Amino acid sequence: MKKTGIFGVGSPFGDDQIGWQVAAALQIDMRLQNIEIKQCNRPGLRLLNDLSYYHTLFLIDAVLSNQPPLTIHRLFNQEIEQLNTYLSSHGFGIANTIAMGRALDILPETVIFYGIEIDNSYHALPQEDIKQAIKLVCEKLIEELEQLQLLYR
Amino acid sequence: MPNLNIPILARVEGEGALELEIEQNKIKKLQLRIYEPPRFFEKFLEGRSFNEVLDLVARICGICPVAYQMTAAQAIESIFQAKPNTWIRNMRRAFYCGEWVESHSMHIHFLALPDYFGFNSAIEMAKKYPEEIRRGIRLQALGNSLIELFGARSVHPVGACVGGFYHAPAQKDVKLLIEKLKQGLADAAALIKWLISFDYPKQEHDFLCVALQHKQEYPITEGYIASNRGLQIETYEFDNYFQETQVPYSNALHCLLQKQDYLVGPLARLNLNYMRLPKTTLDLIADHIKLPSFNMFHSIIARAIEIHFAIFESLRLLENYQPIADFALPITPQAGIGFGATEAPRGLLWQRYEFDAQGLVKSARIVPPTSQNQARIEQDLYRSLISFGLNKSDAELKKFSEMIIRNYDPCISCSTHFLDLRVKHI
Repeated sequence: MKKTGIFGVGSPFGDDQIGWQVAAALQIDMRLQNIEIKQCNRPGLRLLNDLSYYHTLFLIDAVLSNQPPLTIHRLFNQEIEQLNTYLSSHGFGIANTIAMGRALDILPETVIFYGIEIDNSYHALPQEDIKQAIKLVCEKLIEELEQLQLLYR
Repeated sequence: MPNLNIPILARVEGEGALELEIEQNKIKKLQLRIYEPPRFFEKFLEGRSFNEVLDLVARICGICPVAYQMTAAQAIESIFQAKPNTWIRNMRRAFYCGEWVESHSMHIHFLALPDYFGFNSAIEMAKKYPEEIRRGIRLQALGNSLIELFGARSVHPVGACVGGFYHAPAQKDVKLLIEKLKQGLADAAALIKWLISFDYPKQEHDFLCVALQHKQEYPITEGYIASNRGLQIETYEFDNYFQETQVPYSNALHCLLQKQDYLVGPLARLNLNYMRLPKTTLDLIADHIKLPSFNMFHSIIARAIEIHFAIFESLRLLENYQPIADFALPITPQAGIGFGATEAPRGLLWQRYEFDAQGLVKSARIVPPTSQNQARIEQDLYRSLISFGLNKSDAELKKFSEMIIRNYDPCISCSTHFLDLRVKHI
């Protein structure tokens, strides 16, 4: 039977850990005990190996675009492929990975991406601001899961 | 159309450009410009402790960190008189096999094959060849898993240290991986069978091949430096035969062997060492490809052969795996100069270090495979473009030049411590 999953995507470098931090905050929420929550370290295409196990998948990651730091982006299914995460031709970012998943017809029915804008000069943002952003994304996620009736009761 | 400019080389790692000047249907100038900024690794290693070197050099490349770590370890251990035991040697070889599988799979499926078929991307290719791309993803994931087994993670692994490893993997983890490796062997065989069925351009050039050789094994982590024209030297003799020079138009140094360009990488390795491959691997290509081959379009087959070999070899190394207590040797730093040479996925990687008595780096030199191939790539482009014909549109020349360059799987970020093609027709 397919599951619901939440993947916090990131790397050990500065605010690029924010996806992991959201996943860590959600992991201790008892309402999510029937949801698989993972922290993924630069998974690239390896994300594809997991996709077929989920009917609904949330991905959370740091984003660099022209928006102010701490802007929260929410993208649904094909919208995710508009992200410019192709920072190196050696690596596949989330957008390319999702596009590849679509080409291979292995995507969950629902993929929702939450991106948190970090500082485009890679300076660390103030910790209090990061905590607020994490709290906000967690609240939005819980709200969505409730609407989808996926919370544990 | 006297000038052709390919501004960014696509589907190569890093940033490079090609400038061509054509006059009366002859190439007057051909320059492969690497404008990826210099990264000064050799300089900022100075003053660092030997304990830091492996973690630092791993960051030279996101796709071949193991190669940099193992080469550095070899050099440092030679200075500190630390000789790895058999377990460490074998597990380092298995660790490195993971990188070959991962890197070669990535190149074949996401860089080279879209080119060959004329797709704009691997994503487009996946719509027509989904099973083949899935197989490529499985192989890449397998390589990553093997790296993670020893390195704790596959991107910039942290499990290796001077003297060995920080831990010995649990036997149960090795057993799980062995099952995946067995499935991977079937995938690798199917990949070779598929690739040898293609029609490749028949472009043979006479070029010098350089790789490690070893008396007993297909070389990965050690050996002497050899060429197909009789060179056989120890690692410390590198500077007596090879010269690095700065060319004005590129941030990557060029390297020549006694003033001659040369090839490093899977095809060079295969040409020099195919007799050391296991029969299981050789049987897959028997009657299909004649070795040695001097057709750079066979590089993709060479990579597929090495994927199969690397999986076979890691199965051999891990089948009777037992963790040991001596997974790292005791290390006592001392002053001296040491050298390391291993076979990165893209070819021979050579490093030289000098340490002081406290184990701090006094100087470092790193010669990556991609910079060694720069001069060869330029020669190949020169000859191949002439054969192709210069009376073609800029778009055709660009596409052809990109294919030639991608045969070398250049890792441009490594080669500076893609294709902007500029053609000027006069």
